[in-house]
Parts: sequence; structure tokens; C-alpha cells
Amino acid sequence: MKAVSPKLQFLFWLALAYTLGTVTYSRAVGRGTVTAADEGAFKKLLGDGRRLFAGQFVEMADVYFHSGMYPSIFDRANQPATKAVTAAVNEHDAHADEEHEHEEHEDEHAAAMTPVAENWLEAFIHRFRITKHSHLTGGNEREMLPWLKLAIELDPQSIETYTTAAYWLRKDLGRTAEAEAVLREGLRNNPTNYELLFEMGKLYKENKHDHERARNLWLAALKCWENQDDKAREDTALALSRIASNLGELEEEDGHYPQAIQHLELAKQVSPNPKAIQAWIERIRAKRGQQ
Amino acid sequence: MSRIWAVATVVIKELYRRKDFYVLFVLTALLTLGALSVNFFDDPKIIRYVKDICLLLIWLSTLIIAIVTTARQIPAEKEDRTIFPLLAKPVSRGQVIAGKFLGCWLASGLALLVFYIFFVAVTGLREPHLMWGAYLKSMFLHWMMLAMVVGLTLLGSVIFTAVSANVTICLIAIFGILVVGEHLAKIAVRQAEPVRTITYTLFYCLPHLELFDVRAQVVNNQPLPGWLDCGLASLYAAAYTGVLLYAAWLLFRRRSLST
Amino acid sequence: MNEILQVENLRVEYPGGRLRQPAKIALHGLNLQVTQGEVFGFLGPNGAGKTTTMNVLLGFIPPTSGSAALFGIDVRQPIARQRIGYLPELTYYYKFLTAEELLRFYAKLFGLSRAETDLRIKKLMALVELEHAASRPIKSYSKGMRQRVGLAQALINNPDLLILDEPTSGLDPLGRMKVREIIQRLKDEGKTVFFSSHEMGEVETVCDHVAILHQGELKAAGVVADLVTQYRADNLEQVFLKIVGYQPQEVA
Ligand SMILES: Nc1ncnc2c1ncn2[C@@H]1O[C@H](COP(=O)(O)OP(=O)(O)OP(=O)(O)O)[C@@H](O)[C@H]1O
Ligand SMILES: [Mg+2]
Repeated sequence: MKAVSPKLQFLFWLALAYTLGTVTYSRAVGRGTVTAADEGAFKKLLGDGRRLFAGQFVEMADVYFHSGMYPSIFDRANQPATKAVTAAVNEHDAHADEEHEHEEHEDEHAAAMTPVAENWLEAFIHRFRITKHSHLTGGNEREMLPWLKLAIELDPQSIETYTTAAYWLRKDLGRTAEAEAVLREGLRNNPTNYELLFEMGKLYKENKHDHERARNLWLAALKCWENQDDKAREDTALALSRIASNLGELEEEDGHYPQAIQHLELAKQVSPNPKAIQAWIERIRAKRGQQ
Repeated sequence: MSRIWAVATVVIKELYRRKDFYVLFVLTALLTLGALSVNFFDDPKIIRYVKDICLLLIWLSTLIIAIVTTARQIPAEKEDRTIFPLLAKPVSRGQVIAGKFLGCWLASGLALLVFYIFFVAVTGLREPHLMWGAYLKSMFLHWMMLAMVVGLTLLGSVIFTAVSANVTICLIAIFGILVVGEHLAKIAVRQAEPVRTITYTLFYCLPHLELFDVRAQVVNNQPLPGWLDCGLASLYAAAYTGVLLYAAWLLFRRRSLST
Repeated sequence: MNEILQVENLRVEYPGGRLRQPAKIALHGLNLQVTQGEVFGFLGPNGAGKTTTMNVLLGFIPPTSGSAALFGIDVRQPIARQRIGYLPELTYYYKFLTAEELLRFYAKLFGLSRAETDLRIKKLMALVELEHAASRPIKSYSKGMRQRVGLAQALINNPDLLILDEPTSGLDPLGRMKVREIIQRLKDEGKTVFFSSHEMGEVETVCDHVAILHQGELKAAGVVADLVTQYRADNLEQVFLKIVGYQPQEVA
């Protein structure tokens, strides 16, 4: 070993120690040898660092989602903070929205991410970068999962990560069981989170076609949402609209028109597009009249 | 030319007789295989994160190999006094510089080849179609980038007497360039005047090592730049390396070396 | 006469250290000629400037003023070193190479053909008696063995001029004997040898010419016998002591 420089040796042992440390730690947690107190101290110690890394890993998932396109902070200065990978979860929810609005949003999103060269050298550098905006398709969405999984491990309080991972698992990859497991893990760590309950409901309705369970989950989500303080309720009105409109749709499909109207009325109060919901309510009223 | 080549072969021999390279290779292999062995949602097709980690480790390892090997060359010759019997032969100092450069560059290239073979082997385990052309191009660009790194470190080794100072400075400079190099123009726009011109100057003068980093394309199976662009980039690397070596020669040419 | 080594008005100043000390003048206007076939002893007390002179001859340090030439070629041109062999005062070689690889490397620098290299290596390894260790890395060699590798590398190109800086220091009596034999043999072959030494007895036996340097200046030069007569001394050692101004002291 004498021929190896001491700095390299140090690097080697550091890497080895780190690998062993992480492996044994996660095993110990799995077996329950690490007590809650230990874990608490450990997490506190690494808390901020872990969250930072978790954020980085979600970022990685987003880069993968865009097939490696990675705009610098300068190129996305005027881009909304939400990432496409996580935003996708909510895209299909606002039923009232019209389809082309979604497309328009897509174009905007693509334009915001495409880097602009300001001189010849930058233009040349961009030829060596991925500048074509695209999203993963055809089962390749699976490639994002490792980063999301890592982000979950590092920051179990980040709800978005669970919902995003579950979304991709159950949607394009068709892995309902794994998606459910992710959401269950999320609920274990955050038992009263309405977002997780809502996603679970979607899974039961869309993938398992179990309206009964979906209804119960969404009602539970509604309750959890209501149990927040006033300020939080105000900030998360959109979530309520989403839960309520999905409940409305479910009841409509099951032919429970009064309940459907009741939920949609609730959604209308907080929806950004009350007119569309009103029209929807009218449609149900008409159907009800026909019966 | 045969004298330059002779000097270069000694450098290459040294690389594979020292253990640094093997340690870094085993480290990369262990970490990559470790990453590969993690089970994510029972999906055995997931591979891109492994490619990503493996390429990152390859980049780090080859940079360390190139920098550490190059930085040692001339200081070690002086310290071990091997420079005296060497320069007592009919070689010019320019030939010594050129030979050291060639040796370090080829040695890094050799290391790079071994690493890439490992990378392709790991990728082949899960990727249905191997993109041979892309791997080749990526490795080629990487190697061209290492030419600039070796040139820069060689220049550093004739400026700074202490190897560790040179290694540290080169590592910081090179990682700095890799991280912010391409954004310097965008950063410059946001600065007030004296800083702005300085930042612009840096943008145009610093070696754009990050240009040669096409890992994202390889990891995400995206098309790589065409051979014409790669050729232009190589010309850029060659010209830059030439300037660095010329500067190193200017400094070393009249240096007095007393036994 | 065929001047193989020529030094004219050579002046070398070493820059002062960090504290802006005045420059150290190691040689003031040295003149020296060595002609073909001579074995030339370069003498002087410690710090006289012998190694400095050799450093200039080999192009390691640029002269402050004056000039030096080998075979009539200015020492600043690498080609001036094509026909010389050099053994430094202290020698270390690439530890990770074997003796044979080292010699092969130096042979390449001289542009020797493969066949010639093989032949020279075989001959030299026998000459310095290292055949048994030829394929072992140099790091496993003893000090004396390394010194012998040094001698072998100095002879790899079958040089016409050998520059040896204290070739016998650190060798056992047998080793010294061998070195003297080798110098003698080279002389018989018509080669020129320029070497520094502190061993007056040794110099007397092998050298035709000597030069004595003191504090960067040439104090005496010529054939050994002439100098002994000129300084009315019994041997070279006494000449040397007289030149450096040694006064025998009474033991109190
Ligand atoms: N690198 C240097 N920097 C400054 N001064 C030096 C340097 N090398 C040598 N000198 C000085 O130059 C003078 C001549 O040194 P040199 O090594 O030539 O002596 P020498 O005759 O070879 O002595 P020795 O018999 O001890 O080997 C000495 O006074 C020495 O201190
Ligand atoms: Mg000396």
C-alpha cells in the first residue's frame, strides 16, 4: 500500500466507511435495532443535509423525466418553481379544465426550459447539451424511481415525493401494488395527510376500480383537510377543490346524484373555475331530471 | 519524436506499476456494483441511475488519475534527482515536457479505456441496445478534455514547487470550471462593471472542460453531438493544450536545476 | 590539439535566498580545456565549484556569463550531449524500473538501434557485475549496486567523453578499484574522462592532467608531475594543501 498516496487511501476509507455506514444503518432500522430515540438524534444531526439531498434527488428525477435535459438556474430564472415531474400528478385532476389549456401549459413549460445562447461560444457549448424538450415515455418512466425512492428515504416528510413516485408507478408503469406500498409508507410517516389519502383514493378508483374504498379514502381526506387550521385551509383551497370534484365525479358515476351535487357545490366554492363546475352541476341536475 | 515517445513510455509504466489506479478502479467498480445491487420496486430494468453513478465515478477517478500522475512528474524527477541523468542525455527540455505530457495523456487514456470497458459491461447487463457510437464519442471527448487537464497540471507543476499545492490548485480550478464554466457569461451579465468584464474575460479565456461532458446524453440515451462538432471541440482542446504546453516550456526552458 | 571540452570565462552566480541575500558567486571566469584522450582530474575542496562547472557543461544551469562547449558545440544545444556519458554526484534512478529497462530507456534517448542496445546492455551488465539483478526493480538495490547502475547508464552510448562527479564516493575499496579499472580501460580505448574527486591517491594513479579549483577560481592546472615539481611538493596531496592554504597546526 506504500505506493498509494495517503490522500487516496483516505478517500478510499472514507468512501468505504460511508457505504458500510449507510448499509448497516438502513438494515438496523429495518430490523428495529435502532430505537426511535437513536433515530431521532441521528435524523436531527443530519436533518437539513438530508432534506437538501432529498431535494437534489427529486431534481435528478426531474432531469431524467426530461431525458437528461438540465437547464441551469440561469436558464430557468423565469420558470415556475413546480417541476414537471411532480406537476404531472395534478395535471389530470382539474376535470373542468379544457384539454388544450394543458397543451398550452406544456409549450410554455418547454419554452421556459430551453436555454438561450447569448454568444457564439455559448451557442457552441449548447451543441453539446440536450436542448430538445421531451418527457419520458413507454415505460422508461421507471428510470426516475431510484431517485424518488432515495428522496423518500432521506426526507420522509416530503409528501410530493410519495405522490409523484406512486403516480408514475400506477400510471404508465402499471405497478399498482408498488404504488400502493409507496403511499402506505407515506401514510405511515404522515398519517393525516390528505394529499396521500387523495392519491390512494385515485389509485383505488382508477387502478383497482374499487369505488367503495376510493370514496372512504376521499372522505377521510376531506376530513383531514378540514382539521387543519384556518390559515392552512386558505392556502390549500385548491386541494379541497380537487378532492371534492373527484368525489363528485365518483358519485356521479355511481348514480348518486344528490351526493355528487353536494360535493361539487363544495368544490365550486374554492375552484378557480367555478363556471365550469356550475355547468357540470347543471348537467347532473338534467340527468337527475330525466330519471 | 522517438525521444518524446521514450519519455512517455516511462510515465505509462509508472502508472501501471503504482497502485493508485487500481484503488480508484476497484472503488468505482465496488460503488457501481453496489448501486446496481439495490432493488428499486422489484424492477430489474432500471439502469440509468447506475450509468449515471458509474460515469460520475469515472469522471472523478480519471480526473484524479490525470491530475495526480501529471502533478508528480517533474517534481518527482527533481526530488529523486532522476532529472539529471535524464537531461544529461541529448534531449531538450521541450522534449521532456512533450514526453511527460504524452505519457500522462496516454496513461490517462489507458485508464479511461479500462473504466469505459467496465461501464459498457455494466450497462450491457440491463440496457437492451448498447449505443456503441455514443460510448465511443463520449470516451473520445472525455480523453480530449483530459489533454487540457494534463496540460494545465503540467504547467502548474513547473510553477508551484510543492506537488500538494499544485494538486489542490488544479483540482479546485478544474472542478470550478466544470461547475460554472459554461455559465460565466450569464453570471457576467448580472455583475457590476469591473467584475463583469473580468467574468467575461474568464468565460472566453478559461478552458471549457465542461464542453466535453456528454454524460447526460449517454445516461439518457439521447443523441450525441455530431462528429463535426466533436472534431471542432478536439481542435479547441488541441489548441488550448498547445498553449498550455508552450507556457510550460517557456518556464522550464531556462530553469536552473542544480544537483 | 583536439579540444573536447572547452570552458571560457565562465561565471556562475546563484541567486541569493529568500532574504535578498547577495547572489552567491560559484565560479568567477573559469577557463578550462580538456583534449582528446586525456584523463582529467578536477580537484578542489568542498564548495569549490566542481559540481557547478559540471552542471553548466550538462546544461542544467545557464551560465551567468562566458561559454562552455563540448566537441565544439555550445552546451545549450542538446546535441552537444550526444557523445558524452554522465554520472552525477548523487544518483537515484526510476525506482519502479528494472536496471535493464532503465538502460533501454536511456539507449532510446541516444537513438541507439535495438540490436546495438541489446549488445551494450549485455556488455555493461557484465562490466558492472549486475547480471544477476538486471530484471529486479531498482528500488530493491543496495547503494553500491545503484552506483554501478549509474556507471552503466553513463556508458550506454559508448561515449567519447565521460563526465563523472565523484565516481568513487560511497563505494567499498573493491568498488573503487573497479571504477579505476574502468577509467583505465576507457583511456586505453582513446576516450576522454573528466572527473572530480577528493581522493588524491586515486587521481595521481589514473590522471594525466589535473586542475585545482578553489573558491570558484582555477588555481593550478597541468600534468601531475609538473605540478609536483612546480610546488616543490612530494605528491599531489601536498600540492593541493598548499594551494588551498592549509597550515599544519601544532597540537597543543
Ligand atoms: N543551488 C545553489 N544555490 C546557491 N548556492 C549554491 C547552489 N549550489 C551550489 N552553491 C554554492 O556554490 C558553491 C560551489 O558549489 P559546488 O556544489 O559546485 O561545489 P563542489 O566543488 O562540487 O563541492 P563538493 O566537493 O562539496 O561537492 C558552494 O559555495 C555552494 O554553496
Ligand atoms: Mg560537488
